[in-house]
Amino acid sequence: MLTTAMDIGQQMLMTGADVTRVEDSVSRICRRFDVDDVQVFCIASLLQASVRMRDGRYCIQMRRIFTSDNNLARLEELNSISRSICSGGLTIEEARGRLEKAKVLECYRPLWYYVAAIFGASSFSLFFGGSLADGLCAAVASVPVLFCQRHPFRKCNQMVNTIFQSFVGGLTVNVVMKLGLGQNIDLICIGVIMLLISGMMFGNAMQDFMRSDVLAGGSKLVHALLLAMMIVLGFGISMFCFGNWAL
Amino acid sequence: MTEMLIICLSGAVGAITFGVLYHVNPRHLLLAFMGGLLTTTTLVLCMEWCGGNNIISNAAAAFIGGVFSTWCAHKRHAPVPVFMIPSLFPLVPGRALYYSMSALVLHESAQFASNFLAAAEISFGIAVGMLFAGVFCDVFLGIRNMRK
Repeated sequence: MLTTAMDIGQQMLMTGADVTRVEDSVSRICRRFDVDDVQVFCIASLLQASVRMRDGRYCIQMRRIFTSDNNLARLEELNSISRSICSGGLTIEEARGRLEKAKVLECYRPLWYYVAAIFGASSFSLFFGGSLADGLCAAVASVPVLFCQRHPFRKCNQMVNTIFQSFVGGLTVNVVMKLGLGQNIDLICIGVIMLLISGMMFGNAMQDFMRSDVLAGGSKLVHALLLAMMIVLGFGISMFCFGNWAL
Repeated sequence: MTEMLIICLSGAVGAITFGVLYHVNPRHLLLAFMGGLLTTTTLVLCMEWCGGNNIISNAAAAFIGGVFSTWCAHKRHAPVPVFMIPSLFPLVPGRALYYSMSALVLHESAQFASNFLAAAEISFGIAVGMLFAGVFCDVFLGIRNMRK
């Protein structure tokens, strides 16, 4: 029972869920069974739970989280599994079967992510005051960025990966500017950057702070700020290569 | 007026595209679009009325987006972040963070400080808005549950 609850919690954390939701889900699943007390502690990189059974025995498990992804469909499915267990609609064996399916859940074909990135980068370029030409340039630059995000350095260190993605984005922006397509290089860059900014981590950090969970919120916020610095560093290197250091 | 309309629509399109990038279930995408539209419209109107005050405008936009997301989550029996993350994504201080980090790389302390302060104000505004949205929904839903 605790193993399944922890597996669900671990998968939730790996999909980018906020720590309160994970702690709540693991506690609720455990309480559904014959336990006396449940204590769960969670931060972005660690999940720990201790259960005291009615006969006085203790069971403690820990999960270390190394990677996380932003997959809200998977989070929804995991939440649904957790609710079904709590309402008695799912046995542990059935839950494990659904959990295995949830691990590989994909809602869209790869092409859709490219379409989304194109529209996302161009719309944010317009949102921050860019012209239509800037939006088009941001759309062009978003394709190699997303390609790098999904393929070559995916398994590599996240910071290095981010520098590489933003470097590629910056190079593309510079090329389209040299071709005379764009007008405001900064607004094009901002449109592309929105693809790289970890908005979900930022949102979760804010939520954790407001729930007085300073440890979880602080670690996420520092991580998000470090990633933002890596993004600008990658863009800065590409600008330096093109002799356009003034970002 | 046209400019405001473009900003609102581009924010809403941004919300739906980030819904796809964050793997939101396709059946929720229309609600993500509506959430983004609501959030950006509130932001633009509040910026106009409050003379560009970052904290108040972002707090109001986050509050409206948060309440809408919670309502959608209850209707669709899904976790709140599924709607809240795409809806509030247009509020992420991408521009302020970009300018502040670029100023940091270029050793321009004054520009770094002013842009970083703007990013911090926006973040604080979003956090306050989300907090009040959560409390409002808890109280409102609590009263509804008591009546039932």
